[in-house]
Amino acid sequence: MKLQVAVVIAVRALMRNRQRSLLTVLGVIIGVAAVIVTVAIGTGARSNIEATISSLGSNLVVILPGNTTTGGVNAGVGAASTLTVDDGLSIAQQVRHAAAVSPLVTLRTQAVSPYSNWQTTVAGVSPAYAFVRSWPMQSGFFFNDTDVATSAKVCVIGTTVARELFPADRGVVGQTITINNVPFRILGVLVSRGHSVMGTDQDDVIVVPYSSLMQRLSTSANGPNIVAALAVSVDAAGNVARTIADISQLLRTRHRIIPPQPDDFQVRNLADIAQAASSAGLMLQILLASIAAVSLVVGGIGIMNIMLVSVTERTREIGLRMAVGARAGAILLQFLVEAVVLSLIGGGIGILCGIAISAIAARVGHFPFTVSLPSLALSLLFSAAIGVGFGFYPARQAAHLNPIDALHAE
Amino acid sequence: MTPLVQTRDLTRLFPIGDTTFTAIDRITFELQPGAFTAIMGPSGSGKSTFMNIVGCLDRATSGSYLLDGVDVATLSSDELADLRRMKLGFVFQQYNLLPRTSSLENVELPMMYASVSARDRRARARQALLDVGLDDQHHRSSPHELSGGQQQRVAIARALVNNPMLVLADEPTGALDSKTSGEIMHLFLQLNRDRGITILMVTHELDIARFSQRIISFRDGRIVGDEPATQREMTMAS
Repeated sequence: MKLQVAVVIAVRALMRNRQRSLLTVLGVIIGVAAVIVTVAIGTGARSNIEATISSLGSNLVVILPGNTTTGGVNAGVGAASTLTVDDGLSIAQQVRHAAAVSPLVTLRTQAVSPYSNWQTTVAGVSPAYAFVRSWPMQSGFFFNDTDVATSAKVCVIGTTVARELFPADRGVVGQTITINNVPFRILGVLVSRGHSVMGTDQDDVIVVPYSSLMQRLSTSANGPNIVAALAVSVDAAGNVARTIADISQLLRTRHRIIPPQPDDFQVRNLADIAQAASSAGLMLQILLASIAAVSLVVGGIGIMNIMLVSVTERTREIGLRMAVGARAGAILLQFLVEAVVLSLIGGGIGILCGIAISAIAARVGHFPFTVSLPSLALSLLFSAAIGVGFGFYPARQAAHLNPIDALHAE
Repeated sequence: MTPLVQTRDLTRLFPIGDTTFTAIDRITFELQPGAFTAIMGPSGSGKSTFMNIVGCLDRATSGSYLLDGVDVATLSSDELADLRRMKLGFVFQQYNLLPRTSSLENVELPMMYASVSARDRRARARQALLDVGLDDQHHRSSPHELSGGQQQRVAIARALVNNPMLVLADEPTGALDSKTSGEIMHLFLQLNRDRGITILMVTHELDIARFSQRIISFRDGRIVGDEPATQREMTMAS
């Protein structure tokens, strides 16, 4: 028998029991929609995390001063004042895979413009920082090595600072802001980076040459050349582990540390932390998708259940079809096609619902809305497979009926 | 002329626990093309078992059955299905129409399994319904919108639509009042006379059996009577 005819027979049989058919497909609708929504939300969340990772900088390694123990009180990581600008310079010169190094000194203070004032973080860095953090300019340009050498009173600012200190209709580049009574000329504005993994506003920052910060702004008692951190960009992702080892070795030598003496610094691979967050997100996505898949299987069992009831209820119909000359194969095909049609209709409606819900969720949750074509195709294919898988047993039951018994069934 | 149905020593046993029940016992019988024959007998006399075997729905335990010269014992169940589709038509006491399905689609059913194109299916179903006296206004109706007599007419149209050699009617008037029964029997007579359709019918009622040309009586699985019917259709049909 032609499949086309089998489809006509099956669709007519389903139309005869419209309400039951609809209730049957409900399970598949929910299952497919759930799969699509969880995959879409998971993908969206992960693309957010990946955007954050790339905003950290290319293969970024951060070196922090170690902890200090004074009179038995451990002040924790970063408390020691052991990292210097010279440490950074020697890493840049001697560690083979360190592509760029920038010291980082920060200061929390008030910035004043002719229009407004704003408390923000002032970061003292070297020109390599823009490369290390992969942070391009929105307008203007970054300061250069000459500015560092001369402790120039120049800065670049984040978009949040620009928004808070200047009216929207004023050009920012070339203006002057006053930090701790020292005027700084704005060379440029950094592109917006949004929130970090920790939720802090990365655009709320004023970036100045580290030498300018140390000599003109800092009131800290840390002493000259002491930095809060060193940011190192490794030339390739594959070299990160090796570079961390090289840096540790170099710093031990420079700081005259002989193992088992503890290091007075820590080297952290920020990309690792972000990757861990990303893989945690992936785990969550897999968990959600598994739950959704289970509901899809439950929907399939619903189809099998209804098809079995249907075979029992329609025994006379099956007997009649056999009497008018339907082969066992034709009966099998009819019930199989009925199950597949049900699951495909469920899959189709489920996909539409899934896309709609994902779109709403994307808008509410502020993540990019992505519904991949392969995931749609997979859902439809999976629905059809459920139809065949769970429809086969009832269909075989129907085809194996004895025509006389079937005809005289009540 | 080759008989359409020819059985020799046809026997059907049903196992019941440790023993066997003999439903029909060595029946030898012939049916000529164009005949209108009635089978009578009390319940359990074996007439239904015999009809099932003649209708290729069941197989004999022993003996032979030739349908149109073909020994059906040698055929597979798929080939039996093909025989039912191409050479046989069934009419049942309870009509056995598909519920919530139009008359047209009910009549189309046998053609769905016979590779007839959708357009031909519709045309032939419509013609078959007209042939049994149902005009267009009933073609879209579901069975529950039709009277018993009309439903049985739809069932007869379904039995005829594949142009069978033999129509098997199992108590076709069993669920109808006597007036409607007469109309249905008149339709059978007409089909038999005008189109030469061979009819084998089981009935309880002598009044109904007497529309046929020949009455076979069954008792305890054997044929106990085989005589020409007294023609009396005019008294009821007119």
